[in-house]
Amino acid sequence: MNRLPPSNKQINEDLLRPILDTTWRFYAAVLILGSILAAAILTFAYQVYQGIGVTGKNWPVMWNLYITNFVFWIGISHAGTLISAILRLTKATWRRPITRCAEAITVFALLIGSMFPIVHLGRPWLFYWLVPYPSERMIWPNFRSPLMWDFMAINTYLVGSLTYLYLPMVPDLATIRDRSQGLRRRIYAVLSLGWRGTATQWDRLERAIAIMAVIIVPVAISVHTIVSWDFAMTLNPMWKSTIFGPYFVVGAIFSGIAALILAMAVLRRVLRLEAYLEPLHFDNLGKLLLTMSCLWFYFTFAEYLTVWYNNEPHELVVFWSKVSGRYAPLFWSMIAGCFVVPMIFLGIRRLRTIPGVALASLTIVIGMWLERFLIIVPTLANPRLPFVRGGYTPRWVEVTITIGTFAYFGLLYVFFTKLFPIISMWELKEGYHARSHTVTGTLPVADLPASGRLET
Amino acid sequence: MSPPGLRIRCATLDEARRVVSLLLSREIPPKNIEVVSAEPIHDVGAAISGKSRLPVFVISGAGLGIAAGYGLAAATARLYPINTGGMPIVSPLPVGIVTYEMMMLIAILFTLAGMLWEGKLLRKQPRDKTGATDTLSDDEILIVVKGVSAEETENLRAAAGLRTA
Repeated sequence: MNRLPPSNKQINEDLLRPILDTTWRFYAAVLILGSILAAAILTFAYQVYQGIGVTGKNWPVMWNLYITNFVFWIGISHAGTLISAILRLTKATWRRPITRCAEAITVFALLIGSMFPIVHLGRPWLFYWLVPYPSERMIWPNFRSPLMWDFMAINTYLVGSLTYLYLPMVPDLATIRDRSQGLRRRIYAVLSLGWRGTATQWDRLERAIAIMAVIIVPVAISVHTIVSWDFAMTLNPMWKSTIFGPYFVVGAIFSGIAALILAMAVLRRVLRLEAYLEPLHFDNLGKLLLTMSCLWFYFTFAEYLTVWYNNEPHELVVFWSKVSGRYAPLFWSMIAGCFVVPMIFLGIRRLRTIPGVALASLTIVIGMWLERFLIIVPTLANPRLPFVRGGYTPRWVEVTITIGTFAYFGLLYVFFTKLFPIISMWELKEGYHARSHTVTGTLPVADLPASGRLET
Repeated sequence: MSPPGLRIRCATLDEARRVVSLLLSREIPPKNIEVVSAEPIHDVGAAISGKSRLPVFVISGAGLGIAAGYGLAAATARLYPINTGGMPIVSPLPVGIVTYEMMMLIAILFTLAGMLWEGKLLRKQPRDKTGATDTLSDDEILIVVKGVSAEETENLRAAAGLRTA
């Protein structure tokens, strides 16, 4: 069905409505999510006060739910910036309504993910030892350690993602500024950096966004590769793998797209954005997700096949503990969530509807969380030295904090949609006009304008 | 006090393109023409916004980042050479990773700085409201021409068939 594109005024009204009008839903969401987050903060305070022993973390499984969450959230962060950058670079016109939603996910997921190594510390108040500054003994952090590479990579990615989120928001912030009064106007005036929308400003903004899109792709890939090296640089069974870097990156993009689709489905419903987040977007992202599901399965198969075929005893202990041992229910749930369900709901065209794609995304997000858990815990529970074998059962402390971070993510999103347009208004306007007007790249020959108004 | 300039309001992008094209054909310098719009008009931007030096900012940032990253990873290791069990104090691959991340970080910051500088952001809006965006409705495009005499204005009005508001 061909619909007339909305006017600029209509776009402004639709997308600024959640910012200018506050409904009971906003307060309800803040109350519920804020309460869960508060419970998680109190639990963390309890952990700090009592000591890290209140968690299920014990020798030899010293990396537990917290590191699982760290890897998971850093993976989710690949949704936005990477996908948005790739779609921008390939000039995919359907990207316009989804890029900001995706870029926001990146920033929030990074904020949450980077928090977990600190939560994981026995003495979290000493986290600043990671910061490269000369201490009183002139000892700098050890840059030979992959953990320092993590610190550098995640910070670079966070700064890059924030910049990449903020730059395209500047014109929209100016639009809000021009429609606001009083304190709100002053705040948005600061945030919009004095944007006026001159031709030069547009030109430089678009160049800067294009440059950022080129820069951010290798940064994003480096981040999850480096996270994988936290594991692959050791000699532990099923960690020491040359394909861990690309395997992690594929998994990260995979879970990231799934998280993006889930966020879009929720926003579409709650903010009534049906006119902008169309079935086409879910269909296209669904196809991308299907491709990533196949790719993820290929990497997983390659990883497990080589371990099984090598027949190395220490590796096989971990292998069988996952495939048919203690962790088998989680392993097969992961396969079902990341491969079987997506194959059905994304592979069969009739089922690739918005609810179908959202359901597949949900199972993928759960499956990818399980995958992170299965990478970390079974290996640590079955190290090369057999007399230190053990197990791990999460306790209420880490479970509460884990649930709290999901609420934190939701809360950040609620505040973001309250303060900023979740769809890039100017890109949307540009897209609608580009559809109805073929830009040749050169100015037309001067002729008489129809109704320009001259002010003297 | 200098006049605020010629201000033309256009209702469509095509109109704005035609007006800018007319102004340029009358040999009005591109730096005197300002087009304010709610979305980018690429061909107009290319015609009047001049050459961008953003790549220079990015490359400078990357160069500085390489120096900073190498300094951070290699020089600090030499400052306090800990026992590495016979392995090199400054190992090329780890230094390369830290250098790469710093290069990207500072290139990103320089891109942002370059955009702010070249886009003339972080500056106050004109006091006389010339080209102020809050005077525009949602679909309007404002063209401001500076340094135009009354005679030239009249000529332009006649040539372009502009209505006086």
